[in-house]
Amino acid sequence: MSGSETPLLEIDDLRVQYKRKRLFGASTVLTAVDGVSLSLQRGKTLGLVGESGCGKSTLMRSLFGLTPIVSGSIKVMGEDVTGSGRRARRRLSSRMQMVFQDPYSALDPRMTVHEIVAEPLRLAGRYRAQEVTDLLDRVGVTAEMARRKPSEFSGGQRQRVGIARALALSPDILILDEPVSALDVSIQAQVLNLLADLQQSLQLTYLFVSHDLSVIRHIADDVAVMYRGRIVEEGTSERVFAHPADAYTRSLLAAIPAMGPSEARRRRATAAESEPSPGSAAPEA
Amino acid sequence: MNDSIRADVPLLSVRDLRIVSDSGDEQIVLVDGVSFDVFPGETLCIVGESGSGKSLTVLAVMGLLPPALRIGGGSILFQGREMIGLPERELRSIRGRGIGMVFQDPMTSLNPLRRIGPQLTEAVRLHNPRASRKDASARIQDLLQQVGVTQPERSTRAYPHEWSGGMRQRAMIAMAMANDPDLLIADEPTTALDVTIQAQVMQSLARVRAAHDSAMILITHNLGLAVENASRIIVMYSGRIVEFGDVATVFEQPTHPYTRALLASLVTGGRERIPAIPGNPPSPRNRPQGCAFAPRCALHAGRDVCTQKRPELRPTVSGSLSACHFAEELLMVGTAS
Repeated sequence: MSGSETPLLEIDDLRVQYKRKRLFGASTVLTAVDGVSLSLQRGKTLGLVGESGCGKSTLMRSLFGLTPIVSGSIKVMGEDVTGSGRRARRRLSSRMQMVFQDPYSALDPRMTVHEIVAEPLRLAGRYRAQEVTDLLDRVGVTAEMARRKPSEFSGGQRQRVGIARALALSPDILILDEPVSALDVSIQAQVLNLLADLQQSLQLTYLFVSHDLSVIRHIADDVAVMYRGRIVEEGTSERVFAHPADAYTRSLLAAIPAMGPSEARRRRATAAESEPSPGSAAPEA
Repeated sequence: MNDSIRADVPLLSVRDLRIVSDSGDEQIVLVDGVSFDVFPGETLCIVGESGSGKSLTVLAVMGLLPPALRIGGGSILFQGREMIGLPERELRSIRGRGIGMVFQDPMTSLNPLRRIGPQLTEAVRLHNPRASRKDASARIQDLLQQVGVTQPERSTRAYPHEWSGGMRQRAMIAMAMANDPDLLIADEPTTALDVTIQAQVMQSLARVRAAHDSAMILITHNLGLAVENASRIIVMYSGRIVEFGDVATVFEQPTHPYTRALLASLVTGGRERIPAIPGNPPSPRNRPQGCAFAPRCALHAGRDVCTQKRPELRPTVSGSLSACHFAEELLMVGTAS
């Protein structure tokens, strides 16, 4: 990849603020995203790491026009979409889609799996049954299973459906919000492998948000660490994990549970005693 | 602690536990033939995927199975006393005093409309009515301090939503430990928390347990947590124990293909493709005949015995118990990567 290529997604100095009105007295301002700049290159995965309340969910919601942006800009394939209206948003939906954490609440329980994946195509006025079947086949859901409702599916199968739905309009970018956090260990591996396959065959670009550093290290080319609304560290995955420059990143790395008895024994004594608290009112759900 | 309890006498003894759900004419077996002991002061970890029966097993121990389920057989001895069939009143006195509990989500265990302090104090007095409000309150302050809540007196005037998840979980630990239980049951105690907080909460838990010499059953799907905290580990799959042994032995020389595959499928951070376990766990309604893991098993290799005969849990040369017909083959192959 040449460095001169236009990034697929470019966030520049983004600032999101929530005003909290008080019944009496002055209102307070909470800066949830504080001067964040990020860029995504085609076909690559950027891992965004941070703990609850750090602003990563707000940042993601900003990409879809759901937050009060005070300053800065968001460009998708070179086009500024920071304050764009409904029509531009709809156009945007064929370029950028989101996959949610909880596959249990993200799918309409009354629809069959086929209908769920068909919906975005119907809304775009280009539904073809075969296309839905192909999409589901891509993620490993058979046509027979597609006639069922999501309640009959396991967590991993539901997440596959969520991914198929996100891919329906053939977007270039997937925003993945903790896509494997709610899944069992053996199923996490399946879904991560599926995401890697899809990225390769469809040339997808991922913004992969997670609090799980092992997962980020596995899937991300580049990593950004967010803390209290800012990016405190950014670099290639290799560099950040091998030589973390920031103190907060180091404390995150130290907290990954050990993966073997000897490593566990070595670590058992050492862990940082610092609980981050980004103000009393974090605006995240 | 009761001086008559010696270290080699189990605190809790579960034998052939069977948990069933009756829906219509059909009886679904959710937990089948589970047996284990917990010794004073030790930490026993139970790992397994959702639906493996790990949480149901401990709910049964506490007499807290949901109404649709019932114990279909077996025995649960706590301090030598049979818990199955005990009247609710007596069970309640054992919970809280003999057995403390910490659940995954502390928010659902606290009343959002009341200040934290009085709630905790009341919970202590519920199990120990002779304690005065003042004594109970002092006890809670002391325990909160032990689990790392600074200035407990001032901070317990807050409402639950004003506390972070980590703080709330510490409050639950303090509450569970308030009456000096001999056994603490922690079901996914840190799953809902951020990584850095997870480590701190587990440390608080270890500290307060050591001070009270309580045993613990730790339920988790996080194998890293198991390694760091437990001495022995039970691996459950589809309602049964498939492997049981010392944590180090099980991790270094797994004797069940499921354990081995689970360890191999852990995301350890390398960029290479993860050897995922294909398929999904079976539904308890139509568990395969023979070994429940056979359809996903790499060791099965089409051998009839796997699909015809259910493997019993048995000792292996590594020292672990395994429910695999071919456990010895795994040991010969060598250690899992």
